[in-house]
This record gives sequence, C-alpha cells and structure tokens, in this order.
Amino acid sequence: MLDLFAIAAKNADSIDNVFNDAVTSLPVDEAKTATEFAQWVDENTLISINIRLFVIAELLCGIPYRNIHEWAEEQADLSGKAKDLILRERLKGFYEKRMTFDRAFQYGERFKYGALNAGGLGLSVYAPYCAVLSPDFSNALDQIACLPGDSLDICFARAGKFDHIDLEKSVGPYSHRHWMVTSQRIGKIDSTPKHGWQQLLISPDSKCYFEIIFIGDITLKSLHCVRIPAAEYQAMWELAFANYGRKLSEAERAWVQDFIQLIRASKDGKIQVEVIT
Amino acid sequence: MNFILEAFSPADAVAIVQTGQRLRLIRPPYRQSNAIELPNSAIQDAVINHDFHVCGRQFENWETIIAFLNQQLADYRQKHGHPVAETLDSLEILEVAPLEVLQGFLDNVENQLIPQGQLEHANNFLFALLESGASKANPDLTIKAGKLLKQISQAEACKKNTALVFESQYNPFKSLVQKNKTEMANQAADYIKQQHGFFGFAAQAS
Repeated sequence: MLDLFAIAAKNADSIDNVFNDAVTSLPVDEAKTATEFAQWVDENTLISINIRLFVIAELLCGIPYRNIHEWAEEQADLSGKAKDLILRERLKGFYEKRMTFDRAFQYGERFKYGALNAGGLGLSVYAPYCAVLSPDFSNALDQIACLPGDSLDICFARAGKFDHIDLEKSVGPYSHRHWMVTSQRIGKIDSTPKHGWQQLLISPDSKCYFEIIFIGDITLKSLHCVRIPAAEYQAMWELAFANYGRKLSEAERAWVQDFIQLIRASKDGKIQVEVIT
Repeated sequence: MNFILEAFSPADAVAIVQTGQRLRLIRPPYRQSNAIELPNSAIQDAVINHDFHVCGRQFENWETIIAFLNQQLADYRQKHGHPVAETLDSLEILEVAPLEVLQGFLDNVENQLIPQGQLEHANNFLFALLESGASKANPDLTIKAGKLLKQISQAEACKKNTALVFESQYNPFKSLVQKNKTEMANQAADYIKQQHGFFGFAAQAS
C-alpha cells in the first residue's frame, strides 16, 4: 500500500527545485511577479470543500462531515446491510474506480478531499455551498498533501487504468503548496491581473484546480466560513418568500429549512456566511 | 421522450437527468432557469466526487421524476432523524431574514403580488411580518406593511365592486341568485350552454 503523505513529504525538495528553476528562468520582472504570486498563495489560500446545504445543517447539529466510506458505515449501521454492498449499490459502474484508488493508499478510506481556494466559490457546479476550512484546522493536520489536479484524473490518465506513477511524481506537502501552484501556473501569472489570481487556483469551469487530500474530522469548529453565490442566496430567499403564497413541496421545505438554519446560525455567531457576487 | 434519472442525491433531491441528448442538473424548486446543462462526463464526476447515487431509472415525464425525488428526500431525512417539517415556521423565516431581504419582500408585494392580484399571498406575508419581531425592531417595515395592507384592502374592495357591477349588468339570472335559487340558475345556464346560448358563461361566472 502507498503512503500518500510520506510520498508527498519526500517530494518537498524537488518541489522547491522546480520552483527555483522556473523562477530563475524568467526575465527579472516576471520572476518578481512570480515570487509575489507565490507569497500571495502562501498567505491567502485556504482549503475549501463544496458541500450540500443539508451537510451544513448536519454540521450545525453536531454531526461531522463524512466521506463516502464513513457514510456507508453509517448506512450499514442503520440498515444492517454490509458496507461494501451499500457502496456497490450507490456507485454501481463507478465502484471499481473509486475503490481501486481508495484501497491503493494506506488510510485511503479515511481521505477527505478539498481544493485550494483564495476567496472564490470553489468547485461549485454540483454543490454551490463552499465550506472554507479555518487556517488553524489546516495547519494542525499531520496528514495532508497537495496535488496539481484531481487525484483520480491523475491516477487514471493512462488508458483509464490505475497508475500511481504520475501522482507519486506530482504530490507535495501542503507546506509547499505555494511553490507547487507557482510552478504549475508559471506561464500565466504575469499575464493575469492580480485581482484574477484566484482563477489560477480554480478555473471558472472548475476543471483546473489543486486538490488537497487530508485525514481529519471536520466539524463546525473546523470551518472558517461558508461562501454562497449571490444568485443562490437570492434564490433561497425567494423560495422562503413563496412559502407565504403556497404550500412548498417536501424538497422545497427541506431546502428552506436548512437555509434558515444556516442563516440563524450565522446570526447567532456560530458560523460566518459570505455571499459572493 | 424518455427521461432517465442518471444519478441523484437523496438528501436534497438534486438530480442529473438525461432527456434525449441533453444531460441536465436539476434541483428544487425545479425551474428551467436553475437547470444546468452538463457534459456527458459529468455523471462519473458527480458520483465519484460529489456524493451522487447512481440510479438509471426511466420516467415518463418531469412530474414523475420530481415526485420520486421528493419521496426519496422525505424517506432519507426521516431515516436519518431529520424529518421534513409539514409546514415551515413563517415567523422564524422573518426573524432571521436580514433587513434588506425583508425590504425586498415588501418590494415584491408592492411591485408584483398586488399588481398581479395575488392578494392572499401578499396578505399572508404582511400579517406574518406584522406579527414577527422583525417589524417590532424596524418601525419602517411596519409602516410600509401597513400602507401595503391598505392598498390590498382597496384592491379587494375594487375587485368586489367590479364583481357587483358585472353581476348587475350581465347576469340575466340575478333575481334567481338573489332568491338563493342558484341551482336553478346553473341548470338554466347549462341548458342554454347546451343550446350554444350566449348567457351561459355569465350565469356560471356569478
């Protein structure tokens, strides 16, 4: 079994070297901007996880965030079915891919996945609510690694079969994330205005990003804030307003219920909510 | 057309649906405007990385998919000890809503609900607002809500007057209605309608 975090730690020097080589090969002005960018990444990035509003409501009730294995264990307890059967039923044709990756690594079934984020909404297509982890939480993690993309894409890039060679070469320790990001985006930094730098971390289409894999329990205390797109915020209040004119469906009531719980928690100072335009 | 529910999240009824060549992400309140077009590779990404469950069931139309998703959500939340409330707490919504949101709600009443004649919706909201702590904390909201209630009662009075004028001018069965003989009036109207008569509509409308 592979030890992802040991591999990441072993790559620390090579990440330093790649960064230094990349920067020294640039003209003086561009090298200066690249160094400034690296510093900006170091100072401004946090880890974000795009989660469902329902999961935020669970966090507010004291239930920790669960990955797919932890979720399946819970389902197994509730239903009496075997955990593996539950995973097969949920993932069907994608079961092998997910399990091949998770089981290739020591503690792979305990991995949590996030993205480096410097103020944006994260990978928001499927889940617009972006939970940003606090720097204290991230800095206290012993087992944490950074990747220049989606770990499954990296490991299944070669003819769709699992191959960890590219991952072994590219994974780095979280402490070196700013050098990794700068080396990976070196050709785009100078031509990107400073206010657009966050898009070098997560592209607008969410296809290019830096994945963070870690082991740790995420609770309400782990969160720095929850970011919500302004359109989502507006849409949820419109749905709440519709409640005065008609009986909402179960799903609509559930969403409004969770949303109001989040806003109430924000009002009570239990969680910070940022609405992003 | 076949509707294939490719994958969904039972906890919040968000789903990926294939219709013909189009793959769409849908979510409550299931409006065309909040549906997102997805590439075909999205199913794998959604299932492996974003907590969706593979489904693959076929449905006849949107209504049956939405009914299925609502049921799945209700069952999932019940099973996990977070049942969906039968009704939402109208006062709580107003008590947590920020001031600018409440002002936006009042603007909606003024600019949309009243002009569109959705007076019950407007009344429900305004009475809840006046009952809530939000209006006590913000006297401006109370003043505006009071003004809007006045507008609504004027609109209602106007609507009533129009109905009375309509009835007196166009209802040929007025005397029967006044004598509580509406059943007879309706029978007469049905008869005239069957005969393609002109007055059927007026009698039934009253």
